[in-house]
Amino acid sequence: MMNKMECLTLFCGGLEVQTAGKVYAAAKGLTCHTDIIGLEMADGKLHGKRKLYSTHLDGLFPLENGDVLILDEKKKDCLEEMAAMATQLGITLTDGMSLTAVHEPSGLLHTEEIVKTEDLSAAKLVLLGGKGLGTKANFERLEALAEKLGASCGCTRPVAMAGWASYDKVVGLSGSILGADVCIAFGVSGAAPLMAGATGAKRLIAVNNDPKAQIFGRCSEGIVADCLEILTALEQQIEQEV
Amino acid sequence: MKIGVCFKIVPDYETLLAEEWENPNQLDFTYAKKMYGCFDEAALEMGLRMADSLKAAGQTAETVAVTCGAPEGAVSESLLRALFAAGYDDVVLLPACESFVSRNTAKSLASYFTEHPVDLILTGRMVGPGDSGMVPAYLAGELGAELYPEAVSASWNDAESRAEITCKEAGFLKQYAVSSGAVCTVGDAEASYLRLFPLKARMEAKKRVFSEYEPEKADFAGEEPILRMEKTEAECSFLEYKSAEETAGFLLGVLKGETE
Repeated sequence: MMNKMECLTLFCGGLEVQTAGKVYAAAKGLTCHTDIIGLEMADGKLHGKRKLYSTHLDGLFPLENGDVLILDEKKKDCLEEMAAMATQLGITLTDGMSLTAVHEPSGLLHTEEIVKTEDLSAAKLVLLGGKGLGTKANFERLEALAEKLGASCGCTRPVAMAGWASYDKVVGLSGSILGADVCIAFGVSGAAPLMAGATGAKRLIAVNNDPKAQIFGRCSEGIVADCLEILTALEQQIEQEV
Repeated sequence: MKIGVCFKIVPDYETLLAEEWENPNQLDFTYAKKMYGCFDEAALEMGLRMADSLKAAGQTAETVAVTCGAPEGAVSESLLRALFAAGYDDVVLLPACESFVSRNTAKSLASYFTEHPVDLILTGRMVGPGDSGMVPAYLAGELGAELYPEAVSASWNDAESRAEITCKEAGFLKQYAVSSGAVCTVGDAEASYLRLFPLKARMEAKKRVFSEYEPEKADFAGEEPILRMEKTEAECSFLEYKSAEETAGFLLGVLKGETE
């Protein structure tokens, strides 16, 4: 028989808070649900909702009394709705950080601040580059163009993994969630984890030479063209304006 | 020093037909291209680099890659054999656990590492987007080991006779002397891909035999989630221009706020 649902413990924050939540749950032997984006009643039972299979599907996980929920700070806009639902159901949502401390492993030798070049989630104009650009040199051309236009330059995870750009430029589920007015994507196929971050842009324009690229199913405007030809034409027009 | 790396081979979901997701209760991943979990692949390379730095210092290094099977028909013998070719001393296969019960996977891995202790365990932060990312924390809990999150590199400091890792945490890079038996999750690593290897190494890897291990039975209950597809597709307007120059003109206008 199901326990009466009375309390759920919630950790909402950046990676350090999420790690604290995971360590807390593991130490207490509690069931932990990560990357929660909402609560939902289904089949008469409360469920935690999160994205599955590289965000292609939603999964509803049945919750039990005392379960630990972890939310990424990028999704904290879901909190208000979750709190309202919990209140309605008479469930106490306890802030997990009031029960534990930030996880600090032993043996610290040295700390160095990471100088973040730009905050993509706050940028108004974003040029986004994917592996379709072909080479690191072409990605650097996109970066230079963005700088001239006063825009920020983001990339897909495969671009960062290839060493073309630093990881702080990654857009997507494991990077920045865009809130830009305009984002133009060059040579981006549109993998689901990337789109979870890119579709935050109010206007997403995709340039890709493959008319069947997944990004055309998720953007507001699509241009089927060779992204390098368009990049070159943009560079020339900017050059002429100077 | 003995280094254990936990990994999983998964379907590359981006190679599935779009229609596949329309029937969430009848998903067929068997035809998808297979890959190492992206963060696991970085962990696998990090394990080899750690071994390289040990060997360069004249120390002994043993590497073992451990996987808990592939529950969605994602077993790929060529990817498993590639680990031998890349330099792993042993590749251990554990039976697959239920997809959505991380505690059982962690318990199986803990059972293996209790019987076959290592000095350092590396594993991806999560298999990929959508994975719970809870296995490393549960594994550390089961083993009573310390958890070091978000490692970007690992090396052997011979002058101090210790393993050191650098982790990325809350805007800082933190370097740690790692305690023995620790579990380190690998995130945005300096090297994200498993190294290349010559054909000769691949041929030799064909003769190698995988180790198998039957772990203590883990039976944490976990209900399968309800799966569903949310229709979030935007209406895409395809724009056609006569030339690249005309397209560039339109895009510049949009970026300058001059074109609707």
